Amino acid sequence: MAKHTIEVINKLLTHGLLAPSSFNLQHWRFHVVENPEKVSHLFSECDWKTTSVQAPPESAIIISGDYSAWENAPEYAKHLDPDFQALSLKKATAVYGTNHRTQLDEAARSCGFFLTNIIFSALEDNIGVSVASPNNLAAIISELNLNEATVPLCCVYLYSDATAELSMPLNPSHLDTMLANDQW
Amino acid sequence: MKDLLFTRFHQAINDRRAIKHFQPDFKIDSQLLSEILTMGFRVPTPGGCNPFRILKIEDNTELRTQLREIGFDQPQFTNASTLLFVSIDMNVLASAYSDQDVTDEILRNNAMILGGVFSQAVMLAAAARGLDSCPLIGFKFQPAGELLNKPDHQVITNLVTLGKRAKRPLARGSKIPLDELTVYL
Repeated sequence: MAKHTIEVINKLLTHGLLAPSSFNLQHWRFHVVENPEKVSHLFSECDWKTTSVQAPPESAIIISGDYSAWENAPEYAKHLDPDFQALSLKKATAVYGTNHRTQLDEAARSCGFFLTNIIFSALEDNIGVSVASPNNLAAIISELNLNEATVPLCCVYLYSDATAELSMPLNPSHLDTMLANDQW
Repeated sequence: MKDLLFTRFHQAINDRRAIKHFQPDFKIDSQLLSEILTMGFRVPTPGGCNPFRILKIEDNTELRTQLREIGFDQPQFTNASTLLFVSIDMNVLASAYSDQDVTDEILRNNAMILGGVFSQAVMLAAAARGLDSCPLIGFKFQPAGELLNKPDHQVITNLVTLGKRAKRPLARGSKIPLDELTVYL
């Protein structure tokens, strides 16, 4: 039986929704996999790449990006006045309308913002998390029956055993490599 | 010791908004900025690699002015306390998957995801400290790379500006209901 209830998983996702996205496009789409057999199947058959996890997770959230989200820019700006909605579509079309890689970049970047909220929310609730990268995109797209504008970006594995803090140690000697001032 | 973000998480994710107008005279304390950046550098990465290559700009007003010119004259470039250009070293990231076949497309997607993860961690850490931020892609990436002397093997994912808000943000955008975004298997 899955250890994480839908309520717990929905809480993580709801925190994720507070992340920013370009033009409020909210490119993220989710598949919540709570059924242990399906989790195991996805883990073994779809060849997710992870550098740290050996055992199948108890639950999983697959995050995909809808790179056609910009086409609905007015819908996502409907809380604003009509002039701003028109401007929003004009800008979104100029930025994303002609460049597929730009669309993909933004979908992935937004999902990165989203992912951070999920990771911190899980840590707060003592839920263990690990993030896997897709390898066989075609198998995952087929398994999840995704439409042609939706690309799987990552899979968040959820475990009962949590580390209370971020597991990534920071080696101070790496700071000089990772941080520059004014010029690279 | 746990970062402030862990004790102020709910405040941080609710308070963090994309701020377009910053107080030009406000400067973030260097110790505070160091704590905020540390949160970004501590996010999980594939294989624990350190792919982040961050460029920090604070006092170089000439550079800020040049960046504003290629940033569609947005005031954040000159008014925010700190500019952080977020980039990923693609060689380092690829090395994390050295024993596996990863396509260029997936590697690029992962770079963008990691840039987003780093940026959001920084923005949440700032919000936990009562500071404001904005993620930005509204600039010409190639001229910015040339201006900042970006090595070819690095990919800029976005800019993050940090400071203190001068104006209240617009109302929070309407959210797509969770059940319209989610399939439960």
